[in-house]
Amino acid sequence: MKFRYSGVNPSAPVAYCAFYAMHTLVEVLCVSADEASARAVSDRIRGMVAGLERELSRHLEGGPLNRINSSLEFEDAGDELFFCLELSEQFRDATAGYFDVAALSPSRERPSCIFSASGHRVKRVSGGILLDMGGFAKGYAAEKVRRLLEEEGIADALVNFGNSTVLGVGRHPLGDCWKVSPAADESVCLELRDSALSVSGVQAGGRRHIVDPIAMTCPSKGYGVVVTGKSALLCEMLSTALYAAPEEMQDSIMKGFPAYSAGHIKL
Amino acid sequence: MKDEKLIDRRSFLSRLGGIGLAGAALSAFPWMESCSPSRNDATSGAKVRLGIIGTGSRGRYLMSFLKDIPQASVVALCDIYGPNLELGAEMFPDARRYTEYRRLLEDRDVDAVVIATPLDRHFRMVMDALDSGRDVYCEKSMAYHIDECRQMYMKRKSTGRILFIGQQRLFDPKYHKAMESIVRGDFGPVVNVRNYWFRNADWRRPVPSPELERLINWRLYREYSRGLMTELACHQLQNGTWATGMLPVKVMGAGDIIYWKDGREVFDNVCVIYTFPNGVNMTFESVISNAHFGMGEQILCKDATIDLPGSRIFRETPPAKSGMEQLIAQIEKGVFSNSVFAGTSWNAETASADRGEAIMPEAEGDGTREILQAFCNSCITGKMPPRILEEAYYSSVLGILGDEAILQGKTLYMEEGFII
Repeated sequence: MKFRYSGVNPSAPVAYCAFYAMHTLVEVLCVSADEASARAVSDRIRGMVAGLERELSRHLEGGPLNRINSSLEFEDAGDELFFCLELSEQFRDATAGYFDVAALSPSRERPSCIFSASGHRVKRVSGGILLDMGGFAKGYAAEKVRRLLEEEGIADALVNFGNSTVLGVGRHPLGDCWKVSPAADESVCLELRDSALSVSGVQAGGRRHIVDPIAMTCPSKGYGVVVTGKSALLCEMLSTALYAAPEEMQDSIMKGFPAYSAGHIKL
Repeated sequence: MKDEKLIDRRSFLSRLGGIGLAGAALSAFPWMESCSPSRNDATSGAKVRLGIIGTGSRGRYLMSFLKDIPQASVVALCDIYGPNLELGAEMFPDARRYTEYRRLLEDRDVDAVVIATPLDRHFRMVMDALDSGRDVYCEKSMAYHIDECRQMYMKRKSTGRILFIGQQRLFDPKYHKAMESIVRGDFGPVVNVRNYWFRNADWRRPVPSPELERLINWRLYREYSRGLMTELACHQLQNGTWATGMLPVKVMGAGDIIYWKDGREVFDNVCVIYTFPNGVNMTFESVISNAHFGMGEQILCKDATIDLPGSRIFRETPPAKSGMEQLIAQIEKGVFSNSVFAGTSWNAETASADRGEAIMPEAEGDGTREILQAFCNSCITGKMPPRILEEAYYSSVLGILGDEAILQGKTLYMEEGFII
């Protein structure tokens, strides 16, 4: 993990940590007067995100999601994954099916899972279902980082999961919010004040990775979707759903989330 | 695998001048002393009188550098093809002209010769030049047959003269910078070496009269050349031995004439695999009917890919462009501004979009000037730079072995007799 503490500006000492997790670079900037405690918090964040990645990754052999994807029986999901899968199912309902952790599945059967609340067990409805928490994990992890920072008494921080999910906790040490602009359009400035943003679209090199689960295609649009609002998890879920959805569906999806804003940006 | 044939890193380095593993990084380029600023200063004011044997395109390319090297004085030119001799004379009008190289060697005003002739002529010309007491710079590949390469090497030792083979990459600062890091292990172990050279042209030169076909297009005929393996691969095959410190133990390959079926005898496409003692493979591929991938030399290490001619490093986990670091700089300066970084997910899988890091952006040239400067300095001081001839020898041997593996259709091994 990269860690850097800067007290160059005595009125705004900051600690920065960066590490690789969830197939991306995770960065956290904390406003903190104490280097030692900032380092300890950074270590906690890294450990927490790594643990969450083990829970939510479908690639980890023997991990809970890997076991569920490999079996047609009820499998023990553990508390965290069970909760995330249940929440994902609610999101799917709320987005007319465009946010779907089973979007990569060859099968169109939905719901994709059967939940057994007693014992937090889950099974797929068929072998044609593949569960992937890729559009969920970073936003969920960002929210857990927010809670951890609160526990540690850090009021101001900027949390960045791979540039696509950004959470502004409190405010910039020299301003009243955190101001973030898209890399492709500096003229757009998003102000985060205990709020988050999420961007979805084709990745660098034109790589399409978001699946429209209804049409079962990978859309490539001439724009990216940015969503801002209180929860990093909801921002990520919504930006994924809006990018996957046809344009005529986007407004109706957003009507269910009045506290959130969405727009198109250049990528 | 024939264990008795293994040439490991330690023995290879030992054979190449007695350095051990610990000295490998610092001694990766011992020949560079021959063109260091101090050596240039030491030879300033002195001149080596050069005769150029072969004033075709390559010869004239070398001459274009010699014009600007203070220690070089081109006093004689030789070519059996009149138009080339005329073109050479336009560059050095005061130089004496010869059409037979032995006459040039009889010219007592010539201290050293630069040989840029068809491959099959290298052996005889170099041997005669060394026997006549001349120092020699000869274009690569060294010779047509491995035994000839070996004889040339031994002749240099017995005469004590200077012999350079034109492996200019050995003097290219970009390659040095990259190889230094690779040998030091900065990018983890070497796991593969890729060399390729793709062109889309027939490799022919215009022939004013049919009887001159074989003279002018000598690269296309087996009597004079081994084609792609000696004209192109020889540039690149040193990369593997350089990066790994080992010699390959075996080579296999395939080649054919698939497109330019115009009477040529050498392959127009080849694919050759060299295997090192530790199992690492080095490939050379060349096709001259598709130019899309161009020329490439890549050292694949566990943690990074090093593009040698492009002089760039592509890390397995590329550093993300961090807008957060920009934000820290702003805070340090007391600035409250927007941070510009939001976008779609950065991830390692999109590394193909990563432009890599420049190794030595300020470097210019391909090492040709430096190797010619080093040759002139060596002629003046009489000091043969360490290891330079061994590097060239093995590069030539590997090219010949690759061609033989294709011709014979079998795996060939690096025999003890090939080791110098």
